[in-house]
Amino acid sequence: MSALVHRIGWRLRRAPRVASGGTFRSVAMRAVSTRGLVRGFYAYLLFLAAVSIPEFGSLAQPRELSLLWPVAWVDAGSPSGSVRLILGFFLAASVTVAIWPGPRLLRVGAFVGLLCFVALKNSEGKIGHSLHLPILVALAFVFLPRGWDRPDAQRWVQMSLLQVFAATQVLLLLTYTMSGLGKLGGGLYEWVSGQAHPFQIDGFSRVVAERLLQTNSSSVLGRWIIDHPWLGWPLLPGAIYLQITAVAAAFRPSLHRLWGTALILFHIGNAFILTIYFPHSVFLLGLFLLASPFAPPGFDARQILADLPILSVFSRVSSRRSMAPVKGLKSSKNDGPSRS
Amino acid sequence: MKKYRRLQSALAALVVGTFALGMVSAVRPSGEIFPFASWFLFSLVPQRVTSYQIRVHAWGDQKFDPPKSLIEVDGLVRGPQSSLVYQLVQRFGRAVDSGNGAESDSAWRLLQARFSNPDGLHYDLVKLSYDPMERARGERVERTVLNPADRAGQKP
Repeated sequence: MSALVHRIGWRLRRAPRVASGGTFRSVAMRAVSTRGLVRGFYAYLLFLAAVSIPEFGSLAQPRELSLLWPVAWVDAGSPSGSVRLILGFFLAASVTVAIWPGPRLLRVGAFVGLLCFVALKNSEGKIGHSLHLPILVALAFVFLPRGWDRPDAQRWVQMSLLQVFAATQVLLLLTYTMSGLGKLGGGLYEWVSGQAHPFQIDGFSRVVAERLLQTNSSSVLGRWIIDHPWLGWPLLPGAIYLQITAVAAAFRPSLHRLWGTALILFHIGNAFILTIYFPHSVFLLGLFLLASPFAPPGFDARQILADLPILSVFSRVSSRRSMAPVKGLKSSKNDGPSRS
Repeated sequence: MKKYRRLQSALAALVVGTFALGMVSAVRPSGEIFPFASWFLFSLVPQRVTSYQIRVHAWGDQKFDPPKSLIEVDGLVRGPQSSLVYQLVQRFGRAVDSGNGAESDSAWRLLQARFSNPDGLHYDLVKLSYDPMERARGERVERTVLNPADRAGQKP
């Protein structure tokens, strides 16, 4: 009986506090922290522009370019002048939006400036992906409602602010899911066609070996993974699970911090093993998931287990097993509420 | 309320559009619709790899015997260990191998833009065939020279 009482009490504690006005209060509280996070993003954008200043000189030098569409107009006039215009606009837009993130026009300017800057950086013959996520976030934040930055904003404005922030979380995690789908699809194709695949013992070691050979580099853990394939084996299937389920985690607030932490560790691991660096993604994962305004306070292991994508089936099985004696007690004495 | 619903629709369109354009980027022959990537990074495990390597025999006053890979010559290329340089060399090698003059010109110019100084550069282009695990352990790599090192600073 005590197990049943404990379980009901646990469920009641987790229930939404609508009757007491808790939901209204929590919208206001979440809006406060979300406003801070949006401002934090624009401060980061300014930081990004500032640390890029040393690159401006080499970017403005005349050289052969394979221009991406946002900067295709650079060739129409004086390329050097156009590149200086882009860099100046990006810096000015970043400073302005960090100070006044409220007006939509300034946020559009920051998005366009960032888009052109990253497009210019990637116009050297290959598109790198380390700065794609800030562009997507800047694009999503264009949709913030008018007056989102006012502390006395109406409730629907606060709700809209939270909606935009939640959609941005989905957008960020969707990119990881797409990456996971690519690995799963590619891996299954390789498996079925009898080739080396990500689920075999040396699958990840082969990826590491080829990456280090391509770039003639060595990494802290790369050699070790190549020499001990069985130790690196769980990493690739683990990463595939983490990535594929990332978008599901966006809709389960209890998983925000866990997935944020896991994906940050994934990037840190990539740096030490594959020499692939995504520091901007690490920052954004921290901002949007570790500091998520939707994540419940504290650490509720049972809730996390119950919400784990795919794997939660095991926690349900174990939970049913733990409830079994209670059910038996209930049926024999017939003195408890029936379970729904 | 109407504005709130409109916002919800716009955000849903943004998320769906990002996914859809990413998938189009994956199959589009001309590549990514920037900035909507497919994010299919490391989606295949390397099998037996065919790649290209530029071997430098001489650069300025320096002679290399045996020849050194382009990315091993100190100071010749900006960011020699970047995947950008690797991809440009592969693009150049594929174009030369298939006899696509326009593409090899374009790839070479992009690569040359990263040279600190192309004067006195003598090189050859080599096609490699190997198993990544075997090559990482120092085992055999098949090499085929695609063009001799007879032109200084010129595209072959």
